[in-house]
Amino acid sequence: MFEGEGKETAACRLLDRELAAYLEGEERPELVAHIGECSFCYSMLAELEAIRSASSQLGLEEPPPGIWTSIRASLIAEGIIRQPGVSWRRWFERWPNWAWFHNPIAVAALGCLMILGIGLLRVPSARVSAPSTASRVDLSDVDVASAAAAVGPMETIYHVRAASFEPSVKEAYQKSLDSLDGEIRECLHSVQQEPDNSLAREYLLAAYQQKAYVLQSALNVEGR
Amino acid sequence: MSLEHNLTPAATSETQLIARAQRGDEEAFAALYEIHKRRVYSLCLRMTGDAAEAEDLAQEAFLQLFRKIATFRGESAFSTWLHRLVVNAVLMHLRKKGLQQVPLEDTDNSQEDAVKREYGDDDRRLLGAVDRLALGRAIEQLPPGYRSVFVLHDVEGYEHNEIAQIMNCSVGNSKSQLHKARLRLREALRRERFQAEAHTGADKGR
Amino acid sequence: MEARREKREARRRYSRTNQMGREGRFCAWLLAPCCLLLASWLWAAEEPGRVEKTLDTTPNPRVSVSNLRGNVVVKGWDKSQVHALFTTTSSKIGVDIEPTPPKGQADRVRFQTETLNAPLNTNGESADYSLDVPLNSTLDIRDTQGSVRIEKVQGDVHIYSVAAPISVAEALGHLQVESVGGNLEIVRASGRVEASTVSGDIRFIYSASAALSGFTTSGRIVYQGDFVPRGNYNLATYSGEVDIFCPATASFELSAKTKGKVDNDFRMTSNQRRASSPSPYFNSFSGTYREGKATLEVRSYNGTIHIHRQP
Repeated sequence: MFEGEGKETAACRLLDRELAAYLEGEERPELVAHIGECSFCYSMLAELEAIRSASSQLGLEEPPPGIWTSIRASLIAEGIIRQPGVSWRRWFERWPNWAWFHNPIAVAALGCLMILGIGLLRVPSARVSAPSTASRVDLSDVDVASAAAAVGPMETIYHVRAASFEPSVKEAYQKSLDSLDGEIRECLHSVQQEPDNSLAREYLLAAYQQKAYVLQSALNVEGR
Repeated sequence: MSLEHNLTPAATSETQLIARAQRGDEEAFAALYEIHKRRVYSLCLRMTGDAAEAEDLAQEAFLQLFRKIATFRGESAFSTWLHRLVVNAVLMHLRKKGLQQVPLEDTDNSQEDAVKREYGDDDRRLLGAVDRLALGRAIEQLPPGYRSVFVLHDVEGYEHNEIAQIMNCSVGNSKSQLHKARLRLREALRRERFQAEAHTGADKGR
Repeated sequence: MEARREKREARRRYSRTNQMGREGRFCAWLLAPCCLLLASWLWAAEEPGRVEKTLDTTPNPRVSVSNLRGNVVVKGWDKSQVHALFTTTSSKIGVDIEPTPPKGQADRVRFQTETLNAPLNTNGESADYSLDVPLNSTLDIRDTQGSVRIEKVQGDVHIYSVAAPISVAEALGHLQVESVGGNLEIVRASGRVEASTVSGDIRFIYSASAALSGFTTSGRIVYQGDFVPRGNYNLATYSGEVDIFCPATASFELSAKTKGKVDNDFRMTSNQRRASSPSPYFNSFSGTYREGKATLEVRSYNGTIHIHRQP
């Protein structure tokens, strides 16, 4: 019935390369003709097809339960997960001696720092305190507005901190922030005049995000 | 290039989760982990063949993902981005272990790579339905280079041009490694089937 | 009366002397821990301003350096050791070296510049690092000011600076370079490359990377060299120019967008599949040169994009 009765022949070996291409969906009429007459290649093809089919339907494995716990701990340690309220507790724990509360100036300074702390908590988290390689974004007017709102409080804190920076460090930050502010102004103007200008929108949000990263990076710099 | 997709409800909710994660929301991170954990872990397990390594790699891949999530701009599907990150992490790990990946030169005449084709010559029966557990075991036993290409193509559905880019080889190389991997798997599955039947036959003979 | 005044004076003199004695003892007690602290800094320095140390490590340790101002040079070598030379111009600066585990082969080594009176003053005090690390090390380098130079490291490298220029040569692993205002130069990188700066320039020279991205707001990007087949290249500036110098044998698919000009030495076939709908607000161009093996996406908001054919 079949040529060779299930044994591999020279023809089978020659057509092996064609078998691979045929399995990739390429037309191979010679191979098709051969398979009709050769049980060896017929069974080979059927089995390889079965393996391919079964492989694409392999089930998913359940990971061990401890992975998320470890990931979560790392994300918290790196500040990627923001924990509202923790920064408050941490701040107060530094001041065990409440005697200086009697000093009105100290209380006022505490009040100011509390207000700045609230500003910090509202800041979007960005672990990497550096500009990102941003080039295109998905954004809407709401995204632009919320990005602008997030940057505001950080900028306030930056100006307080920057007064204590080394001159060359301050110059580097200021030059970069001036570039970004220029970009924001220009793109904002374009977006307002040309609402369909997708390039301007992309660059506008990218500029806000970069500015947030730069400001966040500045907060990590030691002052004088 | 602004996005102009029509988002499905599920995609919209994942988009929202990503946006919340970008703002540091723990629940969003946890939800993204839950959605993708099995796919990530399975990919790591199949490409390394080792559960302990897969657990470490899956953890590292998620950490890399979450660290970089602020830079995700939506220019590809999140799952595609995540998947590529996991594949790169696994390949980097295998490279560091010094495990041979796809050979740069593909020599069909290589004795080492010649897969026995005469096994089962006398048996005209088909392999039949593929036992998925046996297939999983056989995949774990593949040499690392074959395993990577096979898992990426037949299990994960990558095209050869994508595999070539990821693994820094030619498309032809990827295709030939895949074919060899499939032949090896066929051989392994046949061997296991014959051994199982021989064992059953021996039992019956007692 | 006179006698009483004299006695009063004598009592005052006595109490002043006594007080001075008490103050002196108080100062002595205050100075003692400071001396101890200073001594500990000096102990950390084998010589004043210099620390040299060699640590046994695994073949692929994670090495991190955190510096405030100074030059950081890291080179890969084929030993499973980290050799570190730390030098400083100031007696107020020291280095904290922390291998993990503390004994035996370390798989992590942390170098951190510490100052006795934080921060550094404006007299140019700085701390320099020169490290030799195993080839497969993973690096995490932070230097606020000064310069960073990395050579021949095959593991993943992450560098961050505020104002320091950064130069990386022959990196094989995943390279992430970020600076606020520093210029970036990346030479012959083979792994994935991500480079970004706000006001600095970026130069990519003879890259062999198949996944490369560079972004600067006001700086300029220069890419010099060929493109890897199936590689993805993403270069973007806001106002700076993008200059690409590649050989006539290059093969790439280009997508460019800018409000400025696109200046192209290559004769390309227009790519209908990738071309986006024309916009009245910016210029966009899509084309294929030769077989289009690599994918090149170049954007600038209002800078000019030049694609030069190298002879």
